[in-house]
Amino acid sequence: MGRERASAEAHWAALVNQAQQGDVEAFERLAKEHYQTVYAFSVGLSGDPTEAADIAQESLIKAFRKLGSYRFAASFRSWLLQVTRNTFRDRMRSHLQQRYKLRRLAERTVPLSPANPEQALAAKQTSAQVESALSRLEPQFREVVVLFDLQGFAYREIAEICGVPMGTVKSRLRRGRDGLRRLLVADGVIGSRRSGDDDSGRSR
Amino acid sequence: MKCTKARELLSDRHNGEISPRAAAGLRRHLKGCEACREATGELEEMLQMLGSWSSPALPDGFDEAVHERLSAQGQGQSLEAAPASAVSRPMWSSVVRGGGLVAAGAAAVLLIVWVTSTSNSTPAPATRILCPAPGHAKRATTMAPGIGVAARPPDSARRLRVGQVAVLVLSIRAEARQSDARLLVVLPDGVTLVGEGARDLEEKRMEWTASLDRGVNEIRVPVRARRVGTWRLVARARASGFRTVSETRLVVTRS
Repeated sequence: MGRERASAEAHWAALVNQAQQGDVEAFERLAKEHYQTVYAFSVGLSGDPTEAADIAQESLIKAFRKLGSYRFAASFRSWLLQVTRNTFRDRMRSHLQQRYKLRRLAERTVPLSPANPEQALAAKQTSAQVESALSRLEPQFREVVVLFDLQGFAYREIAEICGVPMGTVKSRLRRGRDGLRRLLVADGVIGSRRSGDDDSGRSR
Repeated sequence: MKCTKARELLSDRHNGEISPRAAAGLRRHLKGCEACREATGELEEMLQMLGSWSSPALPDGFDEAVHERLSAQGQGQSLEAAPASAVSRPMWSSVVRGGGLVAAGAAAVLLIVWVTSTSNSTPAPATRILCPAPGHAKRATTMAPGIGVAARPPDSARRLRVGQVAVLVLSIRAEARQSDARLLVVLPDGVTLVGEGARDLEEKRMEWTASLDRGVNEIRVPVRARRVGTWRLVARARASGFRTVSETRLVVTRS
């Protein structure tokens, strides 16, 4: 991982240099390499693919505008995901907050019915269930779980993105996972209540 | 050991970040705690789910939307696409149909600005030439590269002066043959479409159906540079289960 990662970072740094000198194309090439990562992070944060597209776009534009302030303290990818995280947080705070709240309320009132096995196997639904549960997890836990368990980032990079020490990342991951587990159990997505095939389960 | 501590250790254990001593303590706790045993199974189930999570594909038009907005920021110019308009008189298409520009006569000669010496070009797979207009799609022809057709300049060097005419080449790559692909070409404000007799045409948006061959398919668009700026031409192709975007950038400088 080390060498590959280092060469990727050097490659990004070269493009950043060009872009900082006003080369829009260089920035676009740079951005393109991160579209999917930024989008996936946005989906994980917002729990809504459509909303995520807006967040991702806005983040990329913001990154372009703020590129002059990027000082190579973190890798470009970490910095870009920082921008994405902030964009999401700003949106949460803004008028959209109401919408998020309403939607989450709706999800709580009508919990996902225990899925039948075939449905549970459908990957698409699984993703939607994961995203739905994630969106109800507190943001500071959610972002760490998304970055670590969904996107496979290392502690160091997550610490950079979220602007917290590595120890904090670790403890948030533990708590985040436990919180998410409870939500998924409550939704009937995981655990014995889902399939009933686990005799040592909650049957008591 | 308390359950909260055990839950933390479960997560650590999954990551392989647990000391032998803590692991032993956890095992002891699990032996006597049904709730935590249950939580162990749930956690593993959940983590397996998270591990198989895959992000949805980028939505349609994401690339272009970002590009548009970036270009607007970077150039201080808006690259908005012209409103949709039907191609009523695709006269200009005659320029590009039937074996490319060679057959098109005098008007075509005027259009070729990027002719390079092709005799020494390395052999490349045959390229399918598409005619961007309804009714002419079926006349797409397959021809070897370099039959006196405008060659593609390096991507970064597509420069024209105001008033100059050029044939822009938009490449669409298909991994497999696509019949009935919907093609769309959108021209930016700074360039106009050129038709027969090097006349300027009004069309800004051309949509038609064609089949794409496996490999590179080229769409050739004769244009005239109109306004100074960096402009972008976009070609989109869409079929069931297939979608691609190709674009060409054009820098227009003062005459």
